[in-house]
Amino acid sequence: MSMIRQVGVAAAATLLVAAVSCSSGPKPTADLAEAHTLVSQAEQSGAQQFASINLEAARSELREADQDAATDKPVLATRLAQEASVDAELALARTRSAKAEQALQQVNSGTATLRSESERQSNTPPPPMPPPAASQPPQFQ
Amino acid sequence: MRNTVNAGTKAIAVSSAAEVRHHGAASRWTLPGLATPALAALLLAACATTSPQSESALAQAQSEVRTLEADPLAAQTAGKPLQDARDALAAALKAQQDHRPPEEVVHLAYLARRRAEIGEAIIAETRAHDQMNEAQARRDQVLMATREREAAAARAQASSAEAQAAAAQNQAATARDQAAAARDQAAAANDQAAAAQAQLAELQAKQTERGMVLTLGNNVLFDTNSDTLKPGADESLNRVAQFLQTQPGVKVRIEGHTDSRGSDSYNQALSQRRAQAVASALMARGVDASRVQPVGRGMEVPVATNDTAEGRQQNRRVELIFSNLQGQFAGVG
Repeated sequence: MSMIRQVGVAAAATLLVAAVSCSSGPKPTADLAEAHTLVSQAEQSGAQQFASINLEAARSELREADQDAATDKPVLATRLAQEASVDAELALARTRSAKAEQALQQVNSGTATLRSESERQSNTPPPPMPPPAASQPPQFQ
Repeated sequence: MRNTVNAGTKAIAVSSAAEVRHHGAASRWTLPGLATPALAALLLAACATTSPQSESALAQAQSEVRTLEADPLAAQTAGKPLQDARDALAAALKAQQDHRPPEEVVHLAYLARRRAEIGEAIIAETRAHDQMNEAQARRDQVLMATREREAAAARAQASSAEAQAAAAQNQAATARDQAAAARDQAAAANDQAAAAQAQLAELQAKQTERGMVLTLGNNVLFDTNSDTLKPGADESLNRVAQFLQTQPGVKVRIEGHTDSRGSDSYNQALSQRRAQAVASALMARGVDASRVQPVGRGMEVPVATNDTAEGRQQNRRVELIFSNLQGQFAGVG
């Protein structure tokens, strides 16, 4: 009797744990909000230009997260929202890095241009000044 | 990246039920002694299976985190992302160890991998910023060198132009000096010539086409038929000698002339001797022999008629013809 009850309790507990761990989770609201914020930030920072693959991944994950949240799949929604967040963060970081690289290359190419112009100028001597008047001063008798 | 790991996540997420069923039978997990071991095993297996997907995702995440850790700048410039990535990886590994469902492990591994990639991106940004400082320093150096070179060229050009201007000024000054000297010389020569002219004028010399000519009457200089100078000639000769000494460039031609009385040869010889006598008298007064040219002209160049006594007296004369200051005689040289 008690054995049966024990088994019943154990089974119920196990079911509960399994249900909590796999089928439900915290509400995804906060994760979704954070993901939306990060994706917006990434878009505004110019990620479309500098890290489009990561931005697209984040957008796609966020879309699915929203759908999952709407169709009462909080666990999936939470995961996808978190994935959208890291992808958006990665898009932001890569955008900053790409911008820094671009600025560096601009400076370097500017320096190279400056140097080659400077060398070209120093290699070609300035046009010679007209020689001093070769004619003799007038002779007075 | 997304196409591999992320797509894997989706596939697992979508087919999680099938995965669980498929792996459930192979689970190591059992609950010995339970009355409903099969049910319990099935339920637990839902959370406890391993899968090739989770192994692969974990391997990728570990690899990415190691890559980040291996970067020498990681600890210094990406400490927070590195810690986040390690934490995420630890969470994924713990989920695996705890036999959490593979889609959860894959999800956590995905987060860990992305965290590591974020760290790498931050390091790349830092590196670019650091290089930017060096690049700007290099550019400033080149810029400065260029400006210095341009300034030096401008200075050189300016100093060369100045030197040329100075040379031109010197040349002009020299030319002015030369012109002034030439003018002074010409003025001095003019003055000298004028002075000489004035002196000759004082001697009663006349300007003729042969130059300045001083005519001395024979009656003043000589007795009749004599070639000996009279004392009365001294004053005139002194003045002529004095003039010649003040004008060392001047030469004098001394022509003796007679009237038409007497023979040609006699008159010629007499006029020659008289011209010579005047020349000797001038040399005796310090005039160099090279400056006096005595010539006997006899009766051949009369200046008046030989038919009257007065005319003949005018014809008997000695003419001193003076050269210019350079020793050149006017007219027939």
